[in-house]
Amino acid sequence: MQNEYVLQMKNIQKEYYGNKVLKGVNINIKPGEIHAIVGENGAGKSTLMNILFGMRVIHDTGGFEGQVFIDGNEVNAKTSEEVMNLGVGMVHQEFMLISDFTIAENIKLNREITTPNIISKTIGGSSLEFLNRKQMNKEARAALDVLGMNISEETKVAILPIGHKQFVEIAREVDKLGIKLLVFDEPTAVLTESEADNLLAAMKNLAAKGIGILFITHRLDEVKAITDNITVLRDGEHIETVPTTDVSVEQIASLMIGREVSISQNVNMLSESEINALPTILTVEDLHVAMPGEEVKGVNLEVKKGEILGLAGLAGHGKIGVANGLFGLYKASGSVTYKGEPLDISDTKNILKKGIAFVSEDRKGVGLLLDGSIEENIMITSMQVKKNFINSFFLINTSHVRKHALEMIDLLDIRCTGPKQPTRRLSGGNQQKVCLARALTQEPELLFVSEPTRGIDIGAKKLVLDYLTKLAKEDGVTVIVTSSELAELRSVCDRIAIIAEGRLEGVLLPSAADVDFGLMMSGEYHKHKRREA
Amino acid sequence: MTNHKLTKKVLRFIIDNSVTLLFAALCIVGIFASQEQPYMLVSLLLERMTRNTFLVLALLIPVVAGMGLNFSITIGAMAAQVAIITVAYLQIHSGVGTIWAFVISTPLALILGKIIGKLLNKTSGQEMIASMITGFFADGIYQLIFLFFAGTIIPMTGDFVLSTGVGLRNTINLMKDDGIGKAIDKAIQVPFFTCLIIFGLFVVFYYLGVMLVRRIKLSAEKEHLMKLLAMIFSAIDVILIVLAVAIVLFKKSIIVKGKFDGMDSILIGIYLFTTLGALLIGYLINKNNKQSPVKNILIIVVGIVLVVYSYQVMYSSNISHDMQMLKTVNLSLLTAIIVVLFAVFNVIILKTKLGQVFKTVGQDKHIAEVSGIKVNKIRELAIMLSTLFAAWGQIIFIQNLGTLNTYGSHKSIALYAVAALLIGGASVSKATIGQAFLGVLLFHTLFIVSPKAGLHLFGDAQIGEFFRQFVSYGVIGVSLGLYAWKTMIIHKKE
Repeated sequence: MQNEYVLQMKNIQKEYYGNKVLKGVNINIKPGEIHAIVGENGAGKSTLMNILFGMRVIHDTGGFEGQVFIDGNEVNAKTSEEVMNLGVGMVHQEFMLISDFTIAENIKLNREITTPNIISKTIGGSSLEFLNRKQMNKEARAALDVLGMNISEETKVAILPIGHKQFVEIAREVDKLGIKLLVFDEPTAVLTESEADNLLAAMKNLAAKGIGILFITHRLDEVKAITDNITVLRDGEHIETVPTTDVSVEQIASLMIGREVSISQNVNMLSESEINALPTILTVEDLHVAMPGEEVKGVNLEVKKGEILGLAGLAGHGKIGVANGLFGLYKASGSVTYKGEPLDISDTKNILKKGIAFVSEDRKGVGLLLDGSIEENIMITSMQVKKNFINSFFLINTSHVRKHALEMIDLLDIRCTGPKQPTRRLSGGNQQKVCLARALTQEPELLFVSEPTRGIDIGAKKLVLDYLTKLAKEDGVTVIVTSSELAELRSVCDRIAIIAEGRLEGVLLPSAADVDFGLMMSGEYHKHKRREA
Repeated sequence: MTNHKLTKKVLRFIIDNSVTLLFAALCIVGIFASQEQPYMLVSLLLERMTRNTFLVLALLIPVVAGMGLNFSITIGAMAAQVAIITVAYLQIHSGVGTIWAFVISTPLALILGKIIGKLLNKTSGQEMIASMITGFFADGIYQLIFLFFAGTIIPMTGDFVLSTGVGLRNTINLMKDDGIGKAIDKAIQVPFFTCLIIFGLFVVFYYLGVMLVRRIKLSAEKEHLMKLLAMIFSAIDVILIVLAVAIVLFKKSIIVKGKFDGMDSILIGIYLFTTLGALLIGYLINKNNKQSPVKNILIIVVGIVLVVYSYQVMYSSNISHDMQMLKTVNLSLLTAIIVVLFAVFNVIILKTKLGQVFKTVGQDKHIAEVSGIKVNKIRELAIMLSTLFAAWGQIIFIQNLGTLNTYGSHKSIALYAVAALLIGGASVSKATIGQAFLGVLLFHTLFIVSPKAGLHLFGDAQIGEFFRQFVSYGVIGVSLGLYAWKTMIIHKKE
């Protein structure tokens, strides 16, 4: 008997340490259906997949609530192998391919076809049987043909272009017997447009053969183009499941973003004309940054003096790479003009000397000397760059350092036992304040702050954000805030630049519509506007 | 343009094989500087090749499984020595004793290997240093057992035990009282250059055959027929080998000093013909290994040179006295066969499902795990096999030496085996049997010639001694450095 649904997830709820990340999600997928799940970062997409595949993170943190049915049978899988044996396949975002192996070897990875020999027959057990390469190649060929890929199955994966690698991944899943459901996790993120089109065609092909497809992506036009139904998640909540034909791309975008309760709206926000009237302090042209996982592929940006500029975008799209690249922490290229003079972005020390400061998103790695005391951390950059805190005998002027540290502790309300406390023992919020204090000690004119509120509590968050606003409005410091929390950026920034797929998608005022933010973060804004026009 | 490409290719070859080329050059200089007798050089080298190669080959599987160079083969060697001491103490003689040594060492090595494997899984990413330190630690326990427990907790008395009644003597003579010393080596002794003639002829005919066979196309029926023929040939081979072993057991030697009797020649002839036939058919059926004809011709030329030269040595009287001495160089055929069979095993195992799993784990643990391979189990198995083979290798090594240095024989084997493998051009992540053989050849040539070369060049044999130690550690350091440098460059290119 054919079951109505290949996959049913009923009222799925999940808590991580008291923090609810999934609040009752329902998914139903029929055979041959292409079903999209869309949502911002942290909406719960990956948690949902981890639950489906019975990953260890789920069981190690107390399991989940709700039921999962595969092909009509309730499943409570403890390993991903169990789920895979039931006919569920996953096409990973990062490739699970071994580059020194051939395509056929990769497709048949750990499912090799073997022929028995004398030794394996006497000892027993299939692991000593010889590989039957002929048969392996033949079956791999068949799987590749299903996808319409006409490259030799004996080619090594190492030399394949990325688009082909993705197809090898899919071919592996297709090759598995009795595959019923295929999960595609952001499959087009790394592909060029034509490669992506091929992939979408192949997905449709597979669905036509009766395989259910779960498609996780942020590219809304792809969703619109090939899916049958769309489920929107936001902050772990199941917002809506709708047939694709009933919604427009704008509607999906605004469902994804929603309206969030903001911390405190910046009352002194500048209007567009006011911003345009300000002098330019920093111009970035064609910035490329080779930061792994956050690659920047050509960003042009103009920063006005005294504004708070937000950098927003989805994780992995390069917003974090911008500040890191401009600061010479990763290999970067592009021309940068600061106050009318060209700036060499590979020379970090020189950048610091010119009054530019950076609070890194990587507090523990780049931001702090964890075993150093609060006062050491606060003064170290200024001492190195500006030779502050050094007396006429070239020694550190400890009394001056102490006095300054106490001032900063007071100003930023750093909760500590005293200026000599090692920063390792501080809470995340207080560590962030120390980072900020150090940047301020440099008396910067231009301040980069990355993920200022990541992992800190609401009280500290407010203080940090308020202080950033004060810096810009009262002291005239230009602030560039990079953050994954769009709501936060919209509450403090004058303008928000949105980075999608390594490029600047556009610059919006905080008051712009949710739809525009949603479209821009998905990299669909311009495509969409063009279509409308 | 093509010229430019060629230069690039040559440069690439030199960079890729820098360590091996450097040592080849050192060996050549060393051989000339030492003015060593050809007889001494060849016979010493041959002895060292047969006794050491097995240990080096024991390193291969962990490298394939991505665990780097397994310094803990020392522990396998300790297992072997425990077995050897037991056999010697119980006075089990020669052949039977050797077999017992293998039998006793096997479970011991497997259990120890399992423990080491578990430990290395806990120290994932640091396997090499962890295996080295484990070796040192195990050495401490080994000494504790034989220095303090033997004679107290373990009831041992007699010759072996020190005069105080506690602890074993420093050296145990295995040659005395028909012990296991040289038991494998002495089983079959044949003139080395006769073997070379046979080997050379074999190579020449095989590659000539390959060049002819590559033109033939097979229909499906004929392929079936060929497979049958190959099976018959292989069966005859097996029978002949069994026969040969039987003859050895009863007569102790099959070929005496290069003089065959009629029966021997016929049997060898049949053996060669059937082996050659089976191999060629195998080649014909899987014709996918496309070697270039230039390479084949080159191999044939080398084969002919080998045959002619060896024939000169064995049967011509027009050569210098030094060269004539070479006639008396003997090969321990049984040991050589064991080593070659083990090398073949290493090739075959990689063609099985298990081998593919080793490779997958070695290439990427995460992907292996995701595709359902029990990575830790496989890594444990790799170390267990390596430890086991190290134990067997150590038995071969010790029986050749003829004396067991109770507290020292195992100490530097890991160092020397690793150094040899690296000199052969292997790296932490890639090693082949060819590299193992080449490495042993170069490393031990250097070992043999360096004292005399030191004496002739600097007037002091001790310098050569220093040089050996320096070379062993140096080559490991340099190879690891080069490896790190290469991976860094590859990462940068990406």
